[in-house]
Amino acid sequence: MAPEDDLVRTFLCRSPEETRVLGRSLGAVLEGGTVLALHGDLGSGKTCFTGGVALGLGIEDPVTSPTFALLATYEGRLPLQHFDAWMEGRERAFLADGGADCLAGEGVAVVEWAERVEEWLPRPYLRAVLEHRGETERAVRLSVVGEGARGASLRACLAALEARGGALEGPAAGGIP
Amino acid sequence: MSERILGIETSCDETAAAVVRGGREVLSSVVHSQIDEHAEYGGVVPEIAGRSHLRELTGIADRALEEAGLGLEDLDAVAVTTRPGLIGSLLVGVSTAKGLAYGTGLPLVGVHHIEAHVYAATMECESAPYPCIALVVSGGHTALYRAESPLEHTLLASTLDDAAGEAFDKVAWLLGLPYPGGPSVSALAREGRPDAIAFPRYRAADGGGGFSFSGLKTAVLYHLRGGDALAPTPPPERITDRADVAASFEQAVVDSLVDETFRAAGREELDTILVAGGVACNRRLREEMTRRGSEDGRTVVFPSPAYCTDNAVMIAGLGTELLRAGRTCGWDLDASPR
Repeated sequence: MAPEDDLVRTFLCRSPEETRVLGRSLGAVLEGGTVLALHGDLGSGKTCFTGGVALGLGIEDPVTSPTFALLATYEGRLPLQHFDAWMEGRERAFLADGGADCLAGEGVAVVEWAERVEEWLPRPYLRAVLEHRGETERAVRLSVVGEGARGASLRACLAALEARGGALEGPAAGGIP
Repeated sequence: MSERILGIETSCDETAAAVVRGGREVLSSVVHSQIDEHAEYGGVVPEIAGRSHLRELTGIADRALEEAGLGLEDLDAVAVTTRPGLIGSLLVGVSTAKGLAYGTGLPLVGVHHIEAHVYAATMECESAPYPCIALVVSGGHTALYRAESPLEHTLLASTLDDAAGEAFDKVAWLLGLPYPGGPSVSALAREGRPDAIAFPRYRAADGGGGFSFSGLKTAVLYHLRGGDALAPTPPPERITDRADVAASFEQAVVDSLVDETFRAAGREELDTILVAGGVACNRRLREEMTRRGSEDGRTVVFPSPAYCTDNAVMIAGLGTELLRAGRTCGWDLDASPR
C-alpha cells in the first residue's frame, strides 16, 4: 500500500440523505486552503456529497452540478470553489489557463472527477472515493494524499469525522469487502 | 415607440449582436458560434471563450449595425447581458457595451440572460401573453418562472442537481454519442421505442415543485449494467438497445418537464406557457408540450429555433422594455456568474 494511503476511513451511506449528512459533517471541520478531490462514477453522489460539504461550510445557496460552467463559487464560513473535471480535456485547458490558481485559494476547493486531473492538485489533499454499493447505498472512502505542512490538519479532520461516528473501518483498512 | 437598441450577448460560447426597433422588429442579428474552438475539448472552455469574445465582438457589433443600415448615432441605447454566465465572457460584453455607451452618451441597459430567453418566446406573439408560466431549459439551466410582465419574474422551481441539457450530455457519453448530447441523443431516439424502458420520473415528495435529473441518469447507468448497480459499465459498442435507451431516456426527461410545467400552470391558474432555451428545440418536447396544451386548454408558445439558442435579439428586445421602464445602469454595472 502506498504511504499516502496509510489512513483511510470508510463510511457507508444508505441513502442520498446520509451522503449529504456525511458531507456536512466533513464541511463543518474543514479549514481554509483544503482541496477535496472526489472520485466516483456517474450517479455515485459526488454533487450530493458536495451539497453536504457546502451546508457544513454554512453555505445557504443550493449546490447544483458544476459541469456546465466548470467552476461554481459559493460564499459561506469559507468560500467554496466547486470544480468539475468530467470533460477532462476542457478541465485541463482550464487549469492550465489560470484555473489552477483557484485550487490554491483561501477557501475550500472541491473537484469532481478529480482522478482525471490528479497531477494538478496541490498536495497534500483530501480524497473521497464514492462507490456504488446498491441502488441507494454508497461507500465513501476518505484519505489524505501526499505529505506537507497541512497533512496533520487534514488527518485531524478525518479523525474528527470518525469521532462523530459512522466509520466502518479504521486506519489502513483500505476498502470494504 | 420605435427605439433602436443595440443588444450584445457574450454569456457563454456565442458572440452575438443585434439591432431591434421598438422591442420587436429585428433590424439585424449576427451570431458567431465558437463551437469549433471548443469541440476538441468536448465542451466550452471559459478562458478560450473569453478570448474569442474579445477578438470577435467589435467586428460582430459593427456588422450588426451595418446590416441594420445604422450608425451608433442612430441608436437609443446599448443593452448587454450581465448575468448569469461565464464571468470572463460576460465581462467582455459588459466592458464593450460600457465603452460604446460612454463614447456615444447612449443609455446603458443590463439584461438578465434567462429573462431574455423568456422574452424571446414572446417576440413572435401577436399579443402579449402575460401573465404566464415560463420554462427555461438549456445546457446550464432548468427553471420555471411565473412571469407577470417582461420585467417581473418569480422563480417557482429549478433543478436540484443537473440541468436537463446536461443530463442529455451525460447519457450521450454513456451511449458513445458526441457532444452536445441533446441533438445526438434525440437523433438516435428516433430509431427507438420511448416506452421500451420504464425510467423514473422525479416528483418532489412534499408536493412542491422542482426538477431532478440525477436519479434518472443513475437509472440509465444501472440499466446499462443489466440492472446490477455493482456491475461494470459496458462500452457503448456492447450496448444492444442504445436506441431504446435514448428514446426512453428522452421520454422521461420530456415527461418530467411537461408534468412539472403543467402542474405549475394549474397551481398558478395560468393558461399560457412559454418554453425557451436551447432544449426548447427538442422535437419531442415541442410535440408533448403542444399535445398536453390542447388537452388542458392551455396555449403553449415556443420561439423559432434561432431564438431558442443564445442570440442578441432577445437582449435588445428585453433591453427595450427595461429602457422604457427607466431601468438604465450606471458605470458601476457589473457582471455576475449567477
